[in-house]
Amino acid sequence: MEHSENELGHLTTKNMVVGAYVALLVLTGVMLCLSRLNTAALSVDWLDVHAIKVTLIMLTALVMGVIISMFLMGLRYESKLLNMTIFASNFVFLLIFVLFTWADTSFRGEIDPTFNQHINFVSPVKAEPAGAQGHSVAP
Amino acid sequence: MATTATTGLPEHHVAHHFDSAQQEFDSNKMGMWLFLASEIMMFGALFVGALIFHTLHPAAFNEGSQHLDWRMGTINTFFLLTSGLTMGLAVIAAQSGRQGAVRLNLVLSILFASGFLVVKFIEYKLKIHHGTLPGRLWHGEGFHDPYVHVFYGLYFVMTGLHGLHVLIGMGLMTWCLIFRASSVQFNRKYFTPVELVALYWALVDLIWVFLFPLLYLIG
Repeated sequence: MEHSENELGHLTTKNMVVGAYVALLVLTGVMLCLSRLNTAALSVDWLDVHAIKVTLIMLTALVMGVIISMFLMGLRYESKLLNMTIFASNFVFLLIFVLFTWADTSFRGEIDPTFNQHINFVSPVKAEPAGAQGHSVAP
Repeated sequence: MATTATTGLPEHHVAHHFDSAQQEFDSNKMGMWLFLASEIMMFGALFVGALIFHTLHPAAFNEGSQHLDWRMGTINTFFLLTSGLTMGLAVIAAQSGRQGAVRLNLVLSILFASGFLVVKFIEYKLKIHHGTLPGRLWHGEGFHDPYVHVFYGLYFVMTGLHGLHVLIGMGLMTWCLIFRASSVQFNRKYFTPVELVALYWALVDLIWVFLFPLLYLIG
């Protein structure tokens, strides 16, 4: 986007900021309602309702994050290729980091059960005895 | 030195090492985006840490999460989102040269940010009272899962680092309010300080939007 000599950046409008704020408040409400759902009552054998609830809550957070970055941070109007590249590469790195870690910690040893006998992913911290007082928790 | 008729404040002069106001603005903004990217990386590492321990000890996270008050988290979300709104309004005011509205919105943002820190202080006080402190300081009692201390370790590190960012953001707003808003006229040609502080503050909002459900809601 070309700017005239007298105009820098994108002109933020009141509608945009207030609209984003209202959307964020509504989504916070949605997130709270979802978290109050009693998944134990809705539980069925073939479906992990709790996992669906957690996924929906985190997806709502993701939508809120997109609204903040697009409208409050003005990324939607950021025309500079460089700034978009910084954000996009950052996001892709984070996505790879999170997805691969999740896949590793969740499914290690599941494809070949014998593999887990050699490389068993154990917690790097020691368990604290329940009700303990003043104990060290260092590994 | 050129001054405006309404406030009598001098207009901003482009620094000598920049060709134009546009170049100055773009350089400043790119620097800010690079900094924000590094911030996202730093918090990203903590989020991945939380993900690993949540996968390893889901019951501990559930139990720890239930000892946090979601109502306090909700109030804090409201405070942060509202301060995000007032910072957005401060940018609009700066772009249209309404110096008074910039000051008012900065003061409101600082007040909402202070509200966030007050609620956080109350929460921390309760946690200190119950002994659910990170690392070697842990002396919490009555928990069933032996790994609840891991949840609270992450809770203190993540909310503590975020709280530090809130404090720094308040400092930047105060700097904008006391030094910039009273010494230079903001207008469509110069509103960089307010714009960059608003960008930083939106990042503080962005991080909280993920921290809140992760610690208080999903468990």
